[in-house]
Amino acid sequence: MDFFFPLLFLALLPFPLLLAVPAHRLRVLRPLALWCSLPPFFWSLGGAFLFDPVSSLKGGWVEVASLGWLSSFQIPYVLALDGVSLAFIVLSTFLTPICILASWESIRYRQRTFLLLLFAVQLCLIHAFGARDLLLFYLSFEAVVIPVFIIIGLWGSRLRRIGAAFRFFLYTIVGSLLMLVALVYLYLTTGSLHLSVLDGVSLDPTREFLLWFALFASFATKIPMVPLHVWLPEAHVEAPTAGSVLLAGILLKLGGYGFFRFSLPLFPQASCRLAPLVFMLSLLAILYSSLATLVQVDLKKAIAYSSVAHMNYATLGLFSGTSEGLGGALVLMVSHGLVSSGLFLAVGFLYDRYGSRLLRYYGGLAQLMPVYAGLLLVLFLANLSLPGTLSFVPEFLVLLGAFGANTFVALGATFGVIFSAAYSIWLYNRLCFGPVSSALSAYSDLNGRELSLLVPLVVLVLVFGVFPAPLLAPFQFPLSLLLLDAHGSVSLGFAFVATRFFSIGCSAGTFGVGSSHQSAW
Amino acid sequence: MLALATSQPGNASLLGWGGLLGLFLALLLQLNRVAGVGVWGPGHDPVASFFRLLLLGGGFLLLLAFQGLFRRDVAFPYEFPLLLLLALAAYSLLAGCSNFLVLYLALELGSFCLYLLAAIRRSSLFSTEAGLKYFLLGGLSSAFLLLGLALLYGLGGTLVLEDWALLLAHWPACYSPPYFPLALLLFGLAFKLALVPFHFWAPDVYDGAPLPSTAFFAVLAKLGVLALSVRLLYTVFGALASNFLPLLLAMGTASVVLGTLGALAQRRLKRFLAYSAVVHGGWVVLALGAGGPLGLFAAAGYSLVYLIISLNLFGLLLSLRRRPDDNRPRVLDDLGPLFRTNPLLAAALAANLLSLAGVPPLAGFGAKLLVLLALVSAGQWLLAGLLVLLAVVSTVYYIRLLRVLYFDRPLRWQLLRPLAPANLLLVVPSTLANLLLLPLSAVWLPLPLLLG
Repeated sequence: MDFFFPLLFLALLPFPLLLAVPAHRLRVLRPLALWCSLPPFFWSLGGAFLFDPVSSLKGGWVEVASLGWLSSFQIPYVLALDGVSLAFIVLSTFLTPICILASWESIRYRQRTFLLLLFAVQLCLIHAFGARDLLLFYLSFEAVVIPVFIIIGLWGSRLRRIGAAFRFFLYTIVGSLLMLVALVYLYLTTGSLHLSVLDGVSLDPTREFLLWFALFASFATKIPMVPLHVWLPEAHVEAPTAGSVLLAGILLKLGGYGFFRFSLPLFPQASCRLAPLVFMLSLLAILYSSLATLVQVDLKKAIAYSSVAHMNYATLGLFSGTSEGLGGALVLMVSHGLVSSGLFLAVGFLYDRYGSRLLRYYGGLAQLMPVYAGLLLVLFLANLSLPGTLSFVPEFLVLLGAFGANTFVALGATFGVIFSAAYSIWLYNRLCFGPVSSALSAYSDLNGRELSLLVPLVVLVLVFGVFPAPLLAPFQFPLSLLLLDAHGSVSLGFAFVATRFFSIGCSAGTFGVGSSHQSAW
Repeated sequence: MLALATSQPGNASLLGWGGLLGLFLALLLQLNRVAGVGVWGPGHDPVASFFRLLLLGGGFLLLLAFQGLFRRDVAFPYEFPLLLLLALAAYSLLAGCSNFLVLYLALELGSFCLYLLAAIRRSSLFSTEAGLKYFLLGGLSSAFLLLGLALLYGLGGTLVLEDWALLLAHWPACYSPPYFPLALLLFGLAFKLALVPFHFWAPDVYDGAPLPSTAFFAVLAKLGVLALSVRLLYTVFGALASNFLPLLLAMGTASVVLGTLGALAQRRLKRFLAYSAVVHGGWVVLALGAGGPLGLFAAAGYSLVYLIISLNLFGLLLSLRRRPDDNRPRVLDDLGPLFRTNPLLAAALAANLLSLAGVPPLAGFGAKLLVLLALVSAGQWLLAGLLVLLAVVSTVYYIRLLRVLYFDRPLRWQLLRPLAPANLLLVVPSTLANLLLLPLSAVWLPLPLLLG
């Protein structure tokens, strides 16, 4: 099955088509962009249905696109698929039409440029999630920063947008340049940056630790973990709705994906030994940003801080070294992609109506916009991980995994769950209940476009909440491979770690049991 | 070698077209030689051919971009294309010279053209000042260079490069090698390249000279001297590499550090470009300082990418005019919200700036990666780390310019002038090359072949 070349063709097609339409003909431009964004989504979705990682058995990867690129440096252009990259590619192609619909009316000038930038982001994301080569990943990981920088700086709502765009750009660039140094070192010692070559390389512990830190700096900025999270709330607040959806929905996942794809398999010893550090930082982030969410007055900032908390559950799970934790982290990233996108869209609808995101101007929306309030309720309940919504499944799995790895941390992280209930309920309460705020003079409930944005997200959150098995299934095979692999290389030096990994490697099947168990909820 | 027969005084435009034709012929001849079809003449070597190719190609494109200028701009007399061609001839001679005397004469010929080019706008006080400054300081550095050459002749009795390479390789152990004259030689070249201890002239001269002259200084003049430095380093200095490479590394690092810090403070466009050129010169010299074939490869690759980007950048800047007074933009803020009036031009400029900053998917990143590879393989770990940090700092001032282009509100001027067709020819292909690393890698592929 050739997956990537048609996908890349479909993802490139919007550029000439949109450029061919004059920039002022919005009535052609917007539907054209929407129609252009659907084929990549359906193609990747179809790929997800047909994809069978086990039968291909090329180390769990299906190598589907490869070109002799930079061939004098042995750096080929290789895109490949496994269950994890497929899931994230589907998520990114799913969010592109949503972003186009979300910016249908709220982007008031330079619409064509905006749409082109959205498609550029999509192209970069497909490359980032499909890359089998570290350099290609790095290129697309960085390239995605430029369009988002322009989106924030040009279509942001206030004058602070420029500072926010700068902060976003510089934080991510500084983080990833350290990764570049690691890349140069790896290339010079191994002669290749292809993952299958790097997998077989064993480094001495000191080097491994340094390289791990270099990658960590880059991914931790992207995810973001606590000392490096400063860019995120600013960028979210200043970005237009579509920008926030992209950032929260998929860009943050690049960090988690990087941890899963590169840090864990390439540097298993360092990942194991430094897991307590990651635990501590994650715990700090969960508690700190949950508490920070409680005091926010800006709706977008509140959702941004709660995103930080949720993404740090993902890092907790990723470094727990258990199949439950890892699988939970991956599902959590997908579920957070759906839930936080929905929340940002909902806030965007309010902003389109009333021109403010400050909480104090709102109140009693349940009486004015009942449909909106109902959909928002589901999203907020998903944000606090109520059983029956999609977010509960991964959060439970992550806590399960973390409990096995470090009981104290799991205990601390559980407080995060309580806090998330507190801020979600309180936020929803102030927004929708109580007397109708005097600032809301005119009102209208959701129109068709807005419904068509929120309803699919809400339905997905609910359906996967009661039946998460199809979401867990694609991760199972790559996960068990990773855990078995980690067992193989770690057992060389660290016997005590090896035994733990070994026991999990043997019981990789428990994950399947776990998923069927979850589906009973 | 170069068709200079077109130099009848009179119509500047005619001269320009004649020069273009001559350059085109020379380019064809050069390509022919690289392809190995008609090998003739002395001193055929791949590195010199590569740089000569870059010089001629760059000169061709630059002259093409200037063509519209000659017709419109009365301030440019017919001497302009003539001087340009003469300097280009001198620098292509330099790229393949085999004798210190030829080296000196060609370098001086080129430099004299540059002094004149700096002062070519006779009515402008700034231009005259730039020319004078350039001339005085350039003369001083040439004197040092000449002193070094004289000392070398006195020591070895020969001025042929190959002889000196042999001499230095078999230098009797009881005498110390002629460090002093060679260092003088190096410092003379460092002045021409505007490397850090010798960079003081660059901002003033760049700023005072008219923009077309600045374009020539920043791109082709630098490339010519660079070709010479490569030649010297890998022939004459080859035996003493371990002594001179640290010096190069030090000068390169200092250039990158001070150039980056200097550029941060600039508000005037051409001073900003001057400091940015110092930084990029520093990167190339660092690649050379790393030594070995990878260093040479990185320096060549970086020069190629820098040539493409700067040609593009200057082509774009040359085509911008402020609307009310028809002047060129002088300070960075003059670039105004170019995005609002001419989004295509703004996108091209942004691509170039990001590429100069070395942001990943663009060509400049590939060039920087090559230099980092060369440095790390030479064991310069800390230096590579430092460079990476400085690259971040330099990103700040490039994206600050991006902010001016895209995000600022319109202040005073509206920039609106359609691009001249000749400039389009220059800008479109190089922006495309910039936007994708992919086609550029196709350009890199023949490099190993060229370099042997």
